[in-house]
Amino acid sequence: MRENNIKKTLLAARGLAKHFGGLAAIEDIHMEVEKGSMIGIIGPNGSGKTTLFNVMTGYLKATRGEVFYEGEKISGMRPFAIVNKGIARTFQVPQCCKQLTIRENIHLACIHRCPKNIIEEKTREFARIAKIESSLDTLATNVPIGYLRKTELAMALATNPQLILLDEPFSGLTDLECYELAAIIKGVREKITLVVIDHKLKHLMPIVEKVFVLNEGRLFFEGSPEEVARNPEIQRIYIGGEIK
Amino acid sequence: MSGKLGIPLSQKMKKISKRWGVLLFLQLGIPFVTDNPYYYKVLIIFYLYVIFAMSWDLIGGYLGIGSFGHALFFGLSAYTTAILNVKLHWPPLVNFPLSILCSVIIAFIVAKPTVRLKGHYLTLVTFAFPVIVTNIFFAFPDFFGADIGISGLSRLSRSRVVDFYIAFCATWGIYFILRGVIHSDTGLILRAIQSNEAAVISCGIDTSRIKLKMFILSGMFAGVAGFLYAHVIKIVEPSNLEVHMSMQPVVICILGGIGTLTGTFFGAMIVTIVNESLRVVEQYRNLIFYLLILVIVLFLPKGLKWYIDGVFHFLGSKLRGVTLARK
Repeated sequence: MRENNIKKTLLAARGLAKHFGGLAAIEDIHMEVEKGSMIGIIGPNGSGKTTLFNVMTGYLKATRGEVFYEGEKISGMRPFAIVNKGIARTFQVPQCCKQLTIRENIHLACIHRCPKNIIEEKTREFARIAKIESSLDTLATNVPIGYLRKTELAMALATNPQLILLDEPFSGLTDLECYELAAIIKGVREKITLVVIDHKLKHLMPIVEKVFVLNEGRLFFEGSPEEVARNPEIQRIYIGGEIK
Repeated sequence: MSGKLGIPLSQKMKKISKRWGVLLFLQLGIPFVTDNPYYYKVLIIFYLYVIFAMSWDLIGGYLGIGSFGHALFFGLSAYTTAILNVKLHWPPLVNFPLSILCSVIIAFIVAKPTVRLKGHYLTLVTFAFPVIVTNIFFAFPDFFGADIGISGLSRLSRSRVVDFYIAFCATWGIYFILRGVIHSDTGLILRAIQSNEAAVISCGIDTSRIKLKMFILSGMFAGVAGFLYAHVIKIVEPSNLEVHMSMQPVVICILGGIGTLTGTFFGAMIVTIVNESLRVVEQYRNLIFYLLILVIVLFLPKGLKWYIDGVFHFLGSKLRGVTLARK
């Protein structure tokens, strides 16, 4: 039973801490992400959500603790190497190459993964999944943020990941765009494990199975979206209202 | 076989050949027009500048690394062949691989700690290395010739015409190699790194490794220019390693158009003409040279290639218009 559980765990954080001088951005985080699951991470601003992503993906070095991916220790690895292990991520501010077209951005992510003769085909495939096919030849600098978020997602998919960490994918989007992006995310979750940070609970809660709540750098609560919605303490302290 | 982003390679080569075929043919024919050694020397220097500038453009223009110490690779290669040629009497052909190897090694040494740096720190490091090497050279005056440098190098060949063709082949060879790099997936990665390195890293690409490779390639080609320079000018001096020399490819690329490769030909043409024309007022040469650069940068900021392309495009569209009207 225990062995089965270990096998199912895709990403695990053990006692993870990150300090910036005297400030503990995250402290003693223990977290497990099971293969095939869809996890949400919520918490007020400054609770350490993005820092947690940055430490897990190698952009920041942990002060303490370790990160394991499929049982292999990945803490200390460089970000590109972690991507090549199978963990892709997106950022709060979309990180696309603004001087390149959407096509070139996705092409870039395909380079080390697809044979040359099928890169174009794959680029179109990921663009179709992300619903940005019509903008393939537009410069990334000329598209609205909704398209950039989709492009980033298409780039993440093109790295052939098992796990994608999405950092505030709904930030800056209109309700309509959020529903569209949520539908795309739901579409890709069939094959890929997803961890999503977001403040827009209206769009996050319906698509996740489990939620981790962070507060002041510590893991405050973990449970289903319904349990989070029912917990008055979380609502009162972190959300400031009722979750619908 | 497909090239960049699905454009067939054959179509690409056809486009290149159309654009450059005439120019290449004209240049090949120069020896049939003149036998004046001075013109050959100037033309060879023009080619050297083109090679040197193209090597800088690879990292400065396409990768966005502000290297201001490129003379290090140029000068070290020139010194290597000078020492081997003058002190050991080795022929240029034997010295060539050794000179290039020296440039490659120093490029690796410079690039290894540099590629992970950004902005001013990176620029400062590229500045620092040539100063260190120049000081080492001055510490051993008997060996490196101190201020006087090393003179009396043998020529590349017995004929200026052969020298010209060597420089011509080296220039166009390097041009097509770099063009191949720039229009490949590596070229896309270079442009992407310049645009947003974080995005490239999030695609699982080791940007440090790419930068290191490009630095080495750039250093190697700068070394080719240095080697040719040493055997054309037949003297190497500490000035070959100094800031003014490092500024030459930067200026050429700015004049021609940064990150355009073909722009280096236009930039090098201007620099060569200006340098040669100002020989009569030697004491004011640098002053006039940099003033001219200032004027061009202020009034033609995109570089000459951009404007020349614009003129050709305009003329082309006019000609097409006339042809269609006649039909």
